[in-house]
Amino acid sequence: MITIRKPPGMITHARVTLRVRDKHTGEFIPVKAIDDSDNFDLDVSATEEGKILRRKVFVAFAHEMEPRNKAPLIALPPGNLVLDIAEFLCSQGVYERVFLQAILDIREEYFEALSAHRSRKARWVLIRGYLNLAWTVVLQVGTGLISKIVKAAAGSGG
Amino acid sequence: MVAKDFKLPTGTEMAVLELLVGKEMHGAEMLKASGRLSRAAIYVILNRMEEKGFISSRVKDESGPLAGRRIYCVTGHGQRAYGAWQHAQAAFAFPLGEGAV
Repeated sequence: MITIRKPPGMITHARVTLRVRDKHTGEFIPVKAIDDSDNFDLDVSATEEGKILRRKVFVAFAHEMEPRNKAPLIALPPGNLVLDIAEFLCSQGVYERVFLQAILDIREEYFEALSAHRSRKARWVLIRGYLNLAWTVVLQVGTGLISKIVKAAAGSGG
Repeated sequence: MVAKDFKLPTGTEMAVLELLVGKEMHGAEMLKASGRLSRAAIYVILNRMEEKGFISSRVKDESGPLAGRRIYCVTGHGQRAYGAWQHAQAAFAFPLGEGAV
């Protein structure tokens, strides 16, 4: 019996079945239905080979398991798309110092709520976070425009 | 004598300086510690203050889920601005009636 630890950062949305690939036939053998708890006990003799190493099982766990309801197994943290857009549109400084920091705050609060099993609060954190982020965009663009206008006026004024 | 490019901190910026004098904090900690700062504006203000030279920042977490999070501290310029503001407060902000002849 070996214990498998869920890879850090992995979020499982549904019950999934751990499957291990048979070395000879190439088939996937369902080994154990697991829920979203952190550790799983696995009887290695349940596989045909019975000689699967801990590392191999871990790799199989990370790559080969599929959710029963076909929901995505690994969820991206919130704000990924926003960060991609901000990285494309903004300067590196504004991206790193404004938008990345705001998203990291949202993520921290979101994961805190999730780990406390407060999914409603987690949803509220996301809604509030994205509304704040929209207001941040307005403020950032507004202050940038104002400072450019002031600089241009000062320059033309001599 | 005031330097030509010297920019006075605004009221909100002074609230940030007040929080950061003597310690390092990240944005979320500042939000919890001060009621004057809003979630939407905090990083815009911190970015502006960094451009003005009142504060500096460095990346706190290089890896992990919060990789890239910055921690802020006051620069010498920021400390001087804060000190000047405190002196101004002491000189001008006395209760009405006090000092009247």
